[in-house]
Amino acid sequence: MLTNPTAIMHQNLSMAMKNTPEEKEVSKNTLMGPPKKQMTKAKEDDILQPSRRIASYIDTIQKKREEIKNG
Amino acid sequence: MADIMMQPPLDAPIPGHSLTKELGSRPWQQPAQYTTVEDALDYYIPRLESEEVTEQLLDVLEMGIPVTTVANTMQLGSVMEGKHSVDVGMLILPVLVELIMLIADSAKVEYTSGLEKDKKMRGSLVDLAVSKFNEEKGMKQDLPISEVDDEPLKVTASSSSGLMSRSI
Repeated sequence: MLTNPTAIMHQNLSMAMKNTPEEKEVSKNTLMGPPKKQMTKAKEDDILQPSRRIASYIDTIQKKREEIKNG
Repeated sequence: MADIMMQPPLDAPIPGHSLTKELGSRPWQQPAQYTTVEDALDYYIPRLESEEVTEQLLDVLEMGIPVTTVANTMQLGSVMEGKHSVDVGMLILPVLVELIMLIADSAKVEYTSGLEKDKKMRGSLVDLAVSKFNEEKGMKQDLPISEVDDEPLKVTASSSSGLMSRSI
């Protein structure tokens, strides 16, 4: 019987973080302007998901840990 | 380990034990105090940062208790106290693990994360299947060639006709 789901939760979240699609440059209608990064509707909804917010917190903490490890 | 698993669970509650108290008398039967992930983390982070808790935490980690066990115990205790729901507890588990590891790293304490690739730790069926496949693959590679494929493959002619057609 599974009594400690921590490892599985951590693993699943790490996998979800790895599989996150990157932002694509979407060219706007302006002819002369540089292409700007545009958030799609799905991306906006994605940020509202608790799992995405958790992933961002974990990313921040992991970066801090890396800083500590590397001195 | 196997002996422990084989022992009958004599300390388990008897069926219906949860119904012996009035509904709502337990903290976890009340609405949770912190309903969002952010609220729950705001509850945990100052506690983890406090000197008293940090010292105890580092002692526990130095004893060799995995970080995952500590994190799970913390969130389970808070669920029982009615601080947050089980769902919020599951969501914040990875953050708690990372936070505890951050504290241990900053204190330069060696610890067991509990996230190592281990058959007993991984409940994921995919992981188990992959490790099993790798094991079998490794076993096949170890065998001498003569034992693996002694007989050449026989090509059998399969009838392309249907079930109801006349046999030729």
